[in-house]
Amino acid sequence: MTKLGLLHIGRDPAAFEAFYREHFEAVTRFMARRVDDPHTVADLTAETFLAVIDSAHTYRSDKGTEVAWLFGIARHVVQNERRRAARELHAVRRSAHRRELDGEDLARLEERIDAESAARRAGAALAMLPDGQRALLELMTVDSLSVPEAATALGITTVTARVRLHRARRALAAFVPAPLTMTPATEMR
Amino acid sequence: MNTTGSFPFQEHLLAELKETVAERALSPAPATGRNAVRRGVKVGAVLAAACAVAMLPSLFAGTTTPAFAVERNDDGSISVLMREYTEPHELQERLRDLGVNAVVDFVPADRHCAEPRADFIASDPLLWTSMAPRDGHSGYMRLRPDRIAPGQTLVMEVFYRNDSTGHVAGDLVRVADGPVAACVLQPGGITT
Repeated sequence: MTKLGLLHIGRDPAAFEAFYREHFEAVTRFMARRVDDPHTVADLTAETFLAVIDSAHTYRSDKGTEVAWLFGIARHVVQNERRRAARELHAVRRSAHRRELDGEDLARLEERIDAESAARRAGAALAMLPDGQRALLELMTVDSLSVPEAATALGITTVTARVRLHRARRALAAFVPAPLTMTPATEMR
Repeated sequence: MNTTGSFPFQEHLLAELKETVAERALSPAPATGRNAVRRGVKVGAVLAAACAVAMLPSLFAGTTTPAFAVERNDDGSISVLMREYTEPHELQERLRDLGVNAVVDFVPADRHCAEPRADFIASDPLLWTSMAPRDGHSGYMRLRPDRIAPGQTLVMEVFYRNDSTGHVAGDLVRVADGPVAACVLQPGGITT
């Protein structure tokens, strides 16, 4: 996707389609790493692309990669969803209102959800960290972004990201147990 | 099961979003607000969180009562803001005044209308957009009357919490082909 194309995806259906096809799987997998319900993955994917349409004109290639920018938007969408769920104001509303997904949709989304189960567990393990550090480590370990990309997604500088990363590693080190003595697989029960 | 390539949801969502982009392209000025992009796209309640209720009353220059406000927009769509769930027949009449053959029922969240009350047809994803403003109480929706054919009826069932909060709990908007029976309340909520 060229810079020009990204600038126009909010007003050019063809440019948007190219962007959508390029990133649809990445966005659904991003969501599947955070939620384990196919309808919610579908809703959050739709919400992310709506936000992309709305804010594509704000993307600046000199500020980071397209994927980092996209994951920054996706992360905000997930945060909004978590706040909503925490308030439980509209929890029942969605159940009356879900997107229509057919059998193949459900199977494909559940397949992605299954494939990302390890990433969801990894994300949950970071829950002990302060928000800023957790968000950074989540993007790096769960979504495989580089430090500069994760910094872009979070809207912070790379230097700030490195400081947070250092602190997060130090905090996590306190929780990492001493190395285990490995037992050969054949003896494991 | 084919596990590569696109699947139905991917294509349906793309079609909806491309229509949204096309609508934006037709607007005279670039839309920058989050609400602008949401026109005509049904994404359920997830989209609701970003919509601030404080903005809504100023959008309505049409029929307003303490309970609701209805207005036709420049693009032919109709915006409905519900503040109180007390005047379904008045809201229904306002919608009919605007040419929408509508049946409106406000239903306590622990009840539902007896089914089948009509012969409902497959829903058009562009028929309506619903938002739940941040106050958790009001209900806002935008209808596209051009998506309702002659002889069809828009059936709106809005579920509200029958408690001190009075929050909206959900809504069910469908299109019926032919007659629509009156809502006969049955125990049990469909939104829970």
